[in-house]
Amino acid sequence: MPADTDEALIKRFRQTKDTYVFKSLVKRYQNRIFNTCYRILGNVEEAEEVVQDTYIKIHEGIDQFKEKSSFASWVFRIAYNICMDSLRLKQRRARQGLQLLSFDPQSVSEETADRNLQPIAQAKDTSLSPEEKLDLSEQSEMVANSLSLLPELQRTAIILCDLEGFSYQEIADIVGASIGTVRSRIYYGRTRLKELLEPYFASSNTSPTTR
Amino acid sequence: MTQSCKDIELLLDSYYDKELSISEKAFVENHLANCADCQAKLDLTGRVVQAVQALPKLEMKFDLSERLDELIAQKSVTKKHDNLVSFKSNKLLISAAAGIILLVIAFMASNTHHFSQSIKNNIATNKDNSVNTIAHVKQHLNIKPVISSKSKHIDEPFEIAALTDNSDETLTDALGLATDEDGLYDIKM
Repeated sequence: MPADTDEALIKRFRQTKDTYVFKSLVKRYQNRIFNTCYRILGNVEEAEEVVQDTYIKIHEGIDQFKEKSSFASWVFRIAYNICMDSLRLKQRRARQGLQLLSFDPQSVSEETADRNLQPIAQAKDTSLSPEEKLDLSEQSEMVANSLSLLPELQRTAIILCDLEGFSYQEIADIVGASIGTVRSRIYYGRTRLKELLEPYFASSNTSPTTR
Repeated sequence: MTQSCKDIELLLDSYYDKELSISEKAFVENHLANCADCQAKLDLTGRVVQAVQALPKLEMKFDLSERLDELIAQKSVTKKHDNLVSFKSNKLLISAAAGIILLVIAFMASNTHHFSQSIKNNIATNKDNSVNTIAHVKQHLNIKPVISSKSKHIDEPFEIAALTDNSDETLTDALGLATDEDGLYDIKM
């Protein structure tokens, strides 16, 4: 028996308000959203919080889903917006932290300046548990670190395209940008990734492992 | 690298993702058939994309659907609390409210003197009117006033202690206090 489509489940949930139906939708997307948020934010706990907040927002606003786009796009758009809020909050806190520390402008070291520019890369290193680090193969670790060095908008576009398989139009809907902007973000993001990974590919001289 | 290679390079990612129009796709494929450099770049694009796709798919440590009812209930309680907190933390709103209160106080202070003066004037006018009315009635009815201890002061202006300016003097005299030229209190010993 084929599984119900998202739209069929939403219709049934709107009619019956049956929590079990809503939970089916949750199960369908929770790990995809978590994986994407983790790659954007670089932190397990924050990614889990975003997933929870996303589903609470979906539950509150399911009637606002107009079916103009796919349910997946709508869910990811909500998650993306919460991720961006979380990132902005983290960056603002980091700036405030730096301001408190910067009695003398000369005392701001290169290291802290880099952290301010790339908070995700720093957060990622501290959030990975030993088990998670072991799970990452050498190549995965290299790719994940390179990905975390990209600007967040380019990283998000690449994650949505390459990890989640969304089309450029769907990504544009999710991030609220034009297709041209998405195309540009993917181009510049991949160009940077190529620069970062090319030496690794050259030294290993093997094709990347696919799952 | 030719100009044509530069143009193609901009399209390679979209070509790999099958996001080009038919004419653009044909343009890229024509070029790739005769350009080893661009073909190598396309291969590298493919390797990078496959490497990203090969990243491990992480899963949440818990099943969110099992905790959903609890989370939604918690959120509705937190939301009520957040409304109060957000009001407290809304500095703009508080500043605006404080500004309005200050304006009202300033307005009231500036009008207090005029207000008390207008009350005095009203009382004086009413008093004159009532005296005139009584005199007119007396004249009309030809009533001679019976002078008694209670009514003999009826034509005399009366004063309301609370509205006169000497109440302070009376009070300070009673308390043995007096103000000097600067308006400062002296204690009479």
